[in-house]
Amino acid sequence: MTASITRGRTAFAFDSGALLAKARKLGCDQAEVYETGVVTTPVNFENNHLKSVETAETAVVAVRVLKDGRVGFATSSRAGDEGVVDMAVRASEFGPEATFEFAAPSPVPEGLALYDETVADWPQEKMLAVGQEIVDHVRSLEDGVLGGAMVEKYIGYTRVATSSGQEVCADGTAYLALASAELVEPDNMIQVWRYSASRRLDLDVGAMKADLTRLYRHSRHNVPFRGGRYPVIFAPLAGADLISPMMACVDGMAVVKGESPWRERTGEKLFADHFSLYDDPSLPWGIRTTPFDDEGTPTTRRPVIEKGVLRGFLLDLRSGKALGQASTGNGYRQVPQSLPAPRASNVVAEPGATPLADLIGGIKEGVFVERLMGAWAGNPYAGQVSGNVHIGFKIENGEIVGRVKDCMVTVNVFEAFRDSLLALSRETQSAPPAAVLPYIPLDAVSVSTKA
Amino acid sequence: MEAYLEQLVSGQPADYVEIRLEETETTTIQFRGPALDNLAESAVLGGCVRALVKGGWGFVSFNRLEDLEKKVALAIEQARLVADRQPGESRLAPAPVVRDKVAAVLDEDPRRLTLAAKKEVLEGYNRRVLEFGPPIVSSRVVYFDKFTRLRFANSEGTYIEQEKMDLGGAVVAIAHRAGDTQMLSRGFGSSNGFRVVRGLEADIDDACRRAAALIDAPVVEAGEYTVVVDPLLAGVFVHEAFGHLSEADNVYENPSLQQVMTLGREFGGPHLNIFDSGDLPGVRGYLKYDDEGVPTGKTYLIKEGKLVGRLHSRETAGRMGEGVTGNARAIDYRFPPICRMRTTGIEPGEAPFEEMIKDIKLGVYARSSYGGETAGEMFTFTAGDAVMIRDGKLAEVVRNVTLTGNVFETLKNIDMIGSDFSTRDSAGGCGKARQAPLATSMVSPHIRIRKVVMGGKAR
Repeated sequence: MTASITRGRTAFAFDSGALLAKARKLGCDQAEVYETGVVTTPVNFENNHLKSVETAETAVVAVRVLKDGRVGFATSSRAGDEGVVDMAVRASEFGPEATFEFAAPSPVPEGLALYDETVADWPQEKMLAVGQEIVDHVRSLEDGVLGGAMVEKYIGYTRVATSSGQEVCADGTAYLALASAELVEPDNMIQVWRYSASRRLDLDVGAMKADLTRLYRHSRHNVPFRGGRYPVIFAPLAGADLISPMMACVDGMAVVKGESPWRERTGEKLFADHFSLYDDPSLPWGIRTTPFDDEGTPTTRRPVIEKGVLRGFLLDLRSGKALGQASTGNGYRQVPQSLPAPRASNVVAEPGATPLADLIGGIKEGVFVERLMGAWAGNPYAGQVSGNVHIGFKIENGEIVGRVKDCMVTVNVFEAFRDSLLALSRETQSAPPAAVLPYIPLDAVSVSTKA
Repeated sequence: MEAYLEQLVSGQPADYVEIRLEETETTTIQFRGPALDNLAESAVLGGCVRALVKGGWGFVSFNRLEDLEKKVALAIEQARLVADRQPGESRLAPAPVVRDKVAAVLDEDPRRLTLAAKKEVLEGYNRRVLEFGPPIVSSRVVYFDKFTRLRFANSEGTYIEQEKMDLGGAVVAIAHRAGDTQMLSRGFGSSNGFRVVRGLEADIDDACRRAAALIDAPVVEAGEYTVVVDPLLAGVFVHEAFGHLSEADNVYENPSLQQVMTLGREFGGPHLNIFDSGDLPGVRGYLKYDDEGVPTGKTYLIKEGKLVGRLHSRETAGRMGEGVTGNARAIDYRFPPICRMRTTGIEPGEAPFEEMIKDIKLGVYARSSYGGETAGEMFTFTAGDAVMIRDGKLAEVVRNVTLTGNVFETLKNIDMIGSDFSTRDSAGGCGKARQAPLATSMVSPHIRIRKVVMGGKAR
């Protein structure tokens, strides 16, 4: 069954049908062919000027076979390569036991918003103009400030075909814009960034410039800060670091393997009532919006945490089978060369009703964290997040008064989202790689600084 | 092929053109718990062309190797587009014209081992972790070996064929009790063969013991401490704390950062020597030529406490009037080379470990590593596990140790450097500007740093 999705302008680099036929000929019981082809064209501005214009074209095919009760897996970027099937068969000889089957024919959702002609047709001249506008704006902030920008468009396709007859293909587009401002003083450096990405060309350069200006102005003045426990507002960029241990714990394979501490806790209330988190592959123009996952399973929006209650896990074909459940359509490949594994699509947290200004306004003494550094490092299954406040500001009597430096925040997210989650903002923002989050205020966060 | 590539890049209407073709074959083996999780083979064929016109760069990457003339033309057209908008000057530091064919010299060639033989070694380690007993409940073993055949030609007459091997992995012990999951990893890596994967039994037992000890261990109390850092974590520290700031692409067009990073500036005590080297054989960061075809060597960044060098591409060296160092690297054909580290390290000093801890009233001995990050002058590095130091003695195990510092203070606060020395290699690598993971290594003795800010539980 082929989903009726507009074919874009990227030609297929591999012949799925021929690869499946070859696998059958070599005696495989089942086979799966995944292929993706992408053209990206970034323009880069560094240190206030245009630096490079690039074109990158890649196509990769990944083949999984089930043969004699074992799985074989191989990938290739050699265009048209049929040898990849031989490699997969060779690997199957020593491969893991086959405990699951590849996707069976099943209709995938139609009409999802993931291909935008205006991105595909976005002329290079316009991309260069966006970069130039950002850099010109950053330069105007202050003498000595260095501006950078990367503007990129992406046109690609993903196709999955299995020997049981599932065949799906989708074209996608995306743009990415990155803007930065940097100032170096003898013993003080400021680096602020702004990011915008979508499958549709909804880039608001004005908003990016305004946000960058605001962050830069707040960073311009350092203020002393004493360690202790404070209310802290995590902007979406930093909030993504808080969400990531939760996503690690709902990874179906971590559940199967006994690594996730949540394996017996489905249906339990883990967090505060006003916290709900969704995996949403149907989010209009979301950067990971897709009708099927990288195993060809149809996708659907599903709650991960709903009103504080753990609703279930993200499953691919393997982990689903091991748990006696169907795949939830979350079998994604981190890069085309990796094995599919449970992973989120777009991660969306439900916003609250409070304007951000009121959240800040309600804090007598606290911290606003725009971005954490190093918070990804550590053991996700313990829920501990510890990071340097790379871009963060002191809040005093309801106002941002300056930048805090040399300071770390530590949060046990399992406890904090249960006991100390304050009202969420009504504003949301996207954060890489594919999250849409409100501003998250937590009470009594441990903040450490120099003595 | 040689003549064809040379003809492609010569006589073109550009100040400089280079082409890189790459063929790789990778084997991956992973265990997760008792079951084999993945055994895969992967082949890559790809290439790229980079062109420079009046200071502007064009770059084209591809994995269809037909019509290479068109790729060269497109790269030049893109470079010209940049130059037309903003004419500048192309200034690449001179590099020797090299003609070389480099064969990999291996102790135990993974290509000659069967998949079954490699799997058996790793399976043995996996079983060892699982048989350790409670609270060790699970395991992870990751392993890859990757062979690359690289062809490089530039418009100055350099032509290099290199065979490279990169091998890395880790054995992870996972402990679990009453809703608490803890883990510790033993990484390994090599550029010259499989031998590094053998004989890890004692280290794996140590990882199991330490993962077990983390169960029930308290979270460290937040604050400022004197910290003794083991060689593994010290390697990550020097990579994050000074390596990234030494990458000249941050500096060459930034006059204020040039002042901050003036050669001769004192960053630490006379006992502090920091280097980055491409020619330490055997480690993952080894490479004979970088991705601009420049021979590598050992580059001192800090000698006797003073800044003496930085990590250059030909462009950054040319702009700054300094010599090439062979630090222009790309993770693969999809990316242009940028300033990157190779093997970064602190040279050993004289302090025995006992001397380093004996006068610390309250401190932390931080060991092993989850990784780190840097931005500007600030950096973080996260320990795998840690032990409190109380009244000069090692005391209880603590967890969740993430340290932070800034380059202007922290290097000066290194007051003791150990007499030991070891290498850190792992399955991971370094990330920068979307190019990750790049094979880099770290080498260091134990070091002692005063006044390190640590996250943790508020006192």
